[in-house]
This record gives sequence, structure tokens and C-alpha cells, in this order.
Amino acid sequence: MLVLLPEAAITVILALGTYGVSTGVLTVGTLVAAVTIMTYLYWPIASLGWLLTEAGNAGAASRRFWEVMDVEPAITDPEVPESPADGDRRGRIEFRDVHVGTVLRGVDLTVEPGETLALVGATGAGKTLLTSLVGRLVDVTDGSVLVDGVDVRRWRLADLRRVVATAFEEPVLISASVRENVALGVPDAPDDAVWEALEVAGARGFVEALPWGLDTRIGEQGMSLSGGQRQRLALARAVIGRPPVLVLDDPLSALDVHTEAEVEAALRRVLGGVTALVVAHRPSTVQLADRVAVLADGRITALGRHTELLAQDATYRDLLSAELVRS
Amino acid sequence: MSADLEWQGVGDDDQEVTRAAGLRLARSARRLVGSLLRPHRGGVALALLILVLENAVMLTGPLLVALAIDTGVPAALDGRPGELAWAIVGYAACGLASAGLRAGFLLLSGRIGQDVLLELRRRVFTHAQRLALEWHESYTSGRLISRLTSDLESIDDLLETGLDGLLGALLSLGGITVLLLVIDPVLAGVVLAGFVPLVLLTRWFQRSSRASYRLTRTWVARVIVHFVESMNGIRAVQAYRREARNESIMDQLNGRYRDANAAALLTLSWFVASVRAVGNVTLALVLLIGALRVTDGALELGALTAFLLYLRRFYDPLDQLAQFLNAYQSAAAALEKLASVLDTPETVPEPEHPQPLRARGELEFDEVTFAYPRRWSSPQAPSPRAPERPVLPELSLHVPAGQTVALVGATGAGKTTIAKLAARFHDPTSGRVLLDGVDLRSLADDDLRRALVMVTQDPFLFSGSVADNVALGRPSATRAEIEAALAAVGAEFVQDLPEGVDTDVRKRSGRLSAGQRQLVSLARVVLADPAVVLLDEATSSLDIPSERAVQAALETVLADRTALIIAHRLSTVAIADRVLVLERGRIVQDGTPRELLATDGDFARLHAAWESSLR
Repeated sequence: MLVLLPEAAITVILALGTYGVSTGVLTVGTLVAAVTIMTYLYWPIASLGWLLTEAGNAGAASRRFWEVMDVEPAITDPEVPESPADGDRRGRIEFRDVHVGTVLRGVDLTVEPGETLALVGATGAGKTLLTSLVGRLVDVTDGSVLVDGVDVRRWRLADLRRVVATAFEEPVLISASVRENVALGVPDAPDDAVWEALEVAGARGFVEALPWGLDTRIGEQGMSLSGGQRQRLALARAVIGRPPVLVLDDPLSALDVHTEAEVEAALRRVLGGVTALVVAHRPSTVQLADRVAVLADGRITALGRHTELLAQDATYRDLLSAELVRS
Repeated sequence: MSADLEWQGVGDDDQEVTRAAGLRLARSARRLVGSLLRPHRGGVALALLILVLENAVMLTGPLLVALAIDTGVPAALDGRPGELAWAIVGYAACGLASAGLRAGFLLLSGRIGQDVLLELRRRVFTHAQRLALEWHESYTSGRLISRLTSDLESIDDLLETGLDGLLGALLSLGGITVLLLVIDPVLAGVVLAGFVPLVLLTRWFQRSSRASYRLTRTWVARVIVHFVESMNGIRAVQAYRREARNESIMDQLNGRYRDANAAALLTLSWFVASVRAVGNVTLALVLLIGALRVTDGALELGALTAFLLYLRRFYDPLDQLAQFLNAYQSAAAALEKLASVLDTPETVPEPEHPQPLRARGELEFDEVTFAYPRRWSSPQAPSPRAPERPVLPELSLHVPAGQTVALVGATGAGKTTIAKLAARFHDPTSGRVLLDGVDLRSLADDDLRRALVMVTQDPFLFSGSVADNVALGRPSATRAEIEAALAAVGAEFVQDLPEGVDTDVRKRSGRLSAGQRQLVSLARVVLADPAVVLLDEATSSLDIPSERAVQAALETVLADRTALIIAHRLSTVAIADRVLVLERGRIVQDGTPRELLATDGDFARLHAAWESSLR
């Protein structure tokens, strides 16, 4: 419609102008000049219309942009970070009356340095949530989580996550080289360190057999790996840089019966000498642990050795006894 | 590959687009445009007509002004204002008409453009949905998203602005050429000679800008893939302090994308500048030759002036043409990418004359061999590193109706391939797969899907209620049937959900555990009531109470159906009537679970290992 305006203006000028010429107020030259100048205005006015539409679009888009940018990160570095005293850097995890929403309602639990503790509980009991607290991927709503005697909220985030390595149930690979996938957070890791981590995780063999070794692209855009291979890479990712605390969310879940034994062997190597909190669904994983904790109703309801708990705790028997599976 | 991109690693599809492949790409893009525009032939013709009319009306306007001044004013001075009034009314009418025609054109071309885009989006989506799983495993969802968003956007740009400019420019060019020829054929000849360098320039521009724009499409796809992957794996990113590394990779990819765009713009600016230079040189030549002809008396001075004035207008539309060409190259690069998705062949064509089927559930593999085709994803030449790998060297297998067969074997032994052949995700390389004596290739797709259902135990729930998700098995099912299906698999948990079967599975309160999701997917099967069930056992383990529930449900669901179970963890083998142990695509053991446990073989060994994992 903006085309209409200059056209109308030209018509008016033409009418008034020719009238002016006929009455002798204007010369023909002036009229021609006026019409010519009006035609120059034609494009600027038309493009003004276009500009207005585009500006509207850009305005809507920038509102979306700020919707995202205005969200404040909830988990940030403390203003005055603390770090544990040198003698305390041994990898001790302590949960003190931990509450998170309505899921965890007063968890008290200590994992001693060098110990492997298995965490068992029904689906939805909050096991994954509890493990997320150690590396401060989630914050408690009440109570506190301490690593080496210092509240995780007092640690500098980067330091905490260097000390605590968390491996997840679903090993996520990125479309990049094996090296990049293993050294995820330490891009300058030397090849030796990568190979060492792969060795510990029992993944060295199959990586060596890949067509381009460490340089082979894996993930969605590269070679596809089996569940067992992915899980071992996720383990290698956790142990590179030898963190003193390992948090493993069901490390044997995505395995078939053929690879379970290999990963189990790798796990035994990985768990030696570090403090570990391991979520377990199966008796085979539980057997890697020194002690087992049962999480139910938002609390730790039982704590002890696998055989003791099997004998004493009904919840535990229901969760881990194999009897009813084979019928 | 440059050093800063080392993190990407090396893969199979890293080669650049060769010249021959580039031509092939361009051809398939053109074919795509043709097929998209064909249904709109009438509309396009009408839009063209409107544009011609609009130009004619617009050209009439100045003539009416001339009329008003040259004859209207003197006539009015003579006391006859009628002519002047008519001329002015005529001009106003022209203005109205051109505005109306403009609005009509924009409406029409906008509608055609949006229809074309709609159709293109629909085609890409529908086609991608039908493509083989292997294709999706190598063609990341990030890449597909960039195809559907940023690639389509550049086509949208072309349709919105480009076509208008192109048609307008061509019309003015044609009109002015005629005028030039009328005024002085000799000088017009000089002008037309200027077309030779213009054509050469255009060809150069087409080639090099197409290459640049191909790069921009590739890099924007990588930017999106990186974004999607980082956000999907955000837990790992944060837990392993990868944020900084991700940022630097993002900067890198983003920078490459900017560079590719800058290169494309540089090409454009060279092109526009050269076109102008050709125009100016032609102008100078016309001036020189024209002046000589005027001194010779072969040409009037006024005619030369008019010629030069028209010539100036001649080169303005050339600018517009260059802009169009640029938008076209960008869209064409995007179209190539889309065309390569659309040209990926469907692996299993529908039969033209399907045979009817009354399924009882008898499956037969008759001397079946199978090798996966070479890579699906790259439109370029197949890579030499990906040889055909025969997964099934030769398989003959008879499964009577109602039998439950478990397939056991290591990764790559061919378990999944057998199931995929039975579900006709692929056709065998040679031999036949028969359902109740009918070759799967002669069955209508709908009949086959009704008779045979594939269930994965890592099921995906779509957003919607639990009932909606169960109803996927048979969309026409009544409420009571849905509830009966849930009851049949023992999904009692549904009653404890806040809104029962109407609970939204994507809401926090409705989030189902892995075991519960499996029960929902089994209820789907009960509702679908197929003769054959293909069951892909969960690769990740359930906790033991859930496993018990799923096992009980499976016994009900598989009771009177033929079933092939891909057993990864052996937890479902107990309910099988027959176990096949596979090794490199061959059956090495075949018998009831009891028989195989009694013989000392692979199965007995695997089973012992599995049993011990439960202790």
C-alpha cells in the first residue's frame, strides 16, 4: 500500500501543478522538476515499508534472544572459594542431612577414602539425583554435601569437577575423534595419558583396531560403536587425569552378556585406589563394592555388606534377588 | 584438514565435492525445482502476466505526465480543461492500478512461494522418516535440522525477493533493448557486443559462488550439529568441564561459517563491480562511436542523447540481476543439500500389484544372503574404505506359526539383520523372505505392518498421554480396549499416576521409568494384535523388580504369536521355545533352551556367565 502514497502525491502535484501552469503561477519546467523529484521519493518510501516489516521480525527475534540470555546460571563459583587442607585431599564424600525437593529427605552417608560404595534403590528413588550432588551438577535444597571436608558449594567449580569425575548411565559420544571424546574436558591431554586411560578402562584393544586409531571419528557422524565399547570409553573419560573421586551411574547398564565381563574387569581396575560411589541395579555390580547403601523413601534405610543385607533386609532382597527372574 | 579442526577426527566421508559430483548435484537440484514448481504452472504464469501488466501500467504513467504537460496544459490555457483532467485522472488510475497489481503479485507469488516451501518441508520430513535407520545413524539430527531450517530459509529468501527482481529486470532489459535497436542499430550492436564479457563473467560467478555457498551450507550445518550435540550431552559437558573447549570449537566453526559467507560476498562484489565496469566501458565506446557518427552526420545529436539516457537505465536492472543470481546461488547450494536427502533411495519399494495376506505367522528365510549397501549418507562417490560387508552369507530358516525364537550371538553376528529383513527394513541381496508363503516384496506395506510389529525394549514415548501412546498400536481403539491392553500386560502403575491413563508422559509427574515404558510399548502390541512380533531386547538393564514385571507381560504378549527375539542379555531367553546361536551370520546352534544348555557350547557358556551376573 505504500506504493499508493507517492503515486497519489504525484497525481496531486500533477493536478495542482498543471492548474498552476495554466494560471501562470508556475512554469512548465518547475512542474517537470517537481514530478521528477517525486519519482525519486518512490523507492525510499517503498523500502520504508520493507524496513518496517523487517524491524518487526527482528524485534520479535531479539525478544527470544533475551529470553535465553536473561536466565541466570544457578550454580556458580563461590565468591571466596575454599580448598581442603593438604592432609585432607584423600577423596572423602560426606552427605549430611541432605534434602532435595521432595525426593531426598534427609540422606546421611559417608564414603571413606579408597572405599567403593554401591547405591541401590528402586526406580525413581533418587539415586541419580544423589550422585549428581557430588560434582555439584545439582544443588541441595537443605543440608550439605562435603568433599574432603569442604562443602561443595564452597569449592571452585572447576577444581571440584577435576577431583570428582562423574560417568553417566547413557554414555554420550560427540561427533569427534576418539581422543577428543576421551579427553573431553582436558583438550591438551597428551596421547600417553589418553592411551593410559583407555588401557585402564579396557578400551585400548578396540581403539587400536579402529582404522585411524585415536583419530578415528566416532559418534553420530563417524564410526558407530557397540554399547560395551561406548561404556568403556565413558569409563576412560572418567579416569583420565586420575581423579580421586569417581561417581558412576550404573556403569554396566548398556551391555550385552558378551561384553559385561570385559567391562566388569575394567571396572575392577578403575575402582582400585579411588573413592567411588556406584549406582547399581544388578548383583554383579554390587559385588564390586565394599559396602552397599539402600536408598528408599528419600533416606538411606540400610547400609552394610551385600551378603549381610541379602540376609537381613527385605527391600534389598526384593531389589536384588535373582530368584524370581528365572522361572 | 587443517590443524585446528583436528578434534573432528577422520571419517569416511571427508572428501571435497569434485567437479563431476558438483554437476550431478546441480542437476538434481534443478530437477527438484522443476518438480516443485510444476503444480503451480498456472499460478506462475498468472504472476508473470500481472508483472507484465504492472510494468506496462508503470511505463504509461510518465507518458500521461507528458501528455498532461505537452497537450493538456496548452489546451487548458485555451479554455478546454477536459483533456488535462482526463490525463490527471488517467495518471491517478495508473497509480491505483499499479498498486493493486503489485499487491496482487505479492499475494500470488507469496502464496506460491510458501506452498513450494511447505511442499519441500513436507517432502524432506516424509522422506527422512521413511529412510533406513542406518541413514539416520550417520546423518545426525543436527544436520537434518539445518536442512529443514537454514537451507530452507535461503530458498525462502530467493522466492521472496529474487523472483520479483529477476522478472522485473528481464522485462526492462527486453524493453530497453528493443528501444535501443529502434533508435540506432549500429550503437545497439556495440551494446550487445558487451554481452559477451557479461556472459563470461556470469559463468565465472556461477561456478565460484556456488562453491562458496556450498561451503556456507556445510559450515552452518556443522555449527548446528555442534550446538545440538553439546546441549544433548550437557550433563557430560558440565561434569567434565568441557564448556571452554566447546566455546572454542563453536568460535572456530562459527568463524569458518563467517569466512565462507565473506568469501561468497567477495565473489559477489567482484561480480557486481565487473558488471558495472563492462557497462561503463560500453558507455564510453557508445559515446565515442556515437560522436563519430554524429560528426559523420549518420546520427542526430538528440538520438545519441536519448540512446545514452536509455543505456544508463539498461545497466540498473543488471545490478538487480546480479543480486538475483547471488540469491539463486545461495538457494541452489541449499537445494543441492536438500536434493541429496530426497535422492537417497528408499531401500524397500512398495509392490505395484500387492498380494493379499491372511497372516497366521509362519516365517521362512529361503537361502537369504544379505550385505549392507555402501554408505548412504554421502552423495559423493562411495568411499574406498567402506567395502560391502556380507552380514548373512546364506541363511535358511523356517519358523512355524506361534513359535518363539530367541536369536543369540555377539555384536555383528547378524541378530538384528535377521529381524530387519523379517520386518522388511531391507530386502535380501539374494533369496527370499516369506510370510505365510508370500514373498515380503509382494506384500502391501500396510498389510505387512499389520501382520508384523517390531518392538524395541528401549521404547520412545511421544508427547501425549499414556493412552495416546498405547493407541499408536491401533489408532481406532476405544478407551475400554486401551485400558484392557494395559491391564493385559499388568501395567498397574498407571492407576497411581496423577491422571491415570490421561497423564501426559512428558510432564514431570508423568515421567515413566524404563520398565514402565516397556510395559506401555507391550500394551501397544496387544492392541495392534499382530501375527508376528519382532522383539529387540533392551540393551540396557532394568532393575530386577521391573524386569520381573516385563517378563510376565512378555509371556502374555508372545503366547499365541510367532516371535523373533533379539537377545542381548539373555533375560528373555527363558520364555523362548527355540534358541538360535549365530556366529558371523551363520546358525551354529539350534534347539530348545533346555537342549542347548545340556550340550556344551556357546549358549551354555553365555548362559552361565549371565546367571553369575545375577548372583
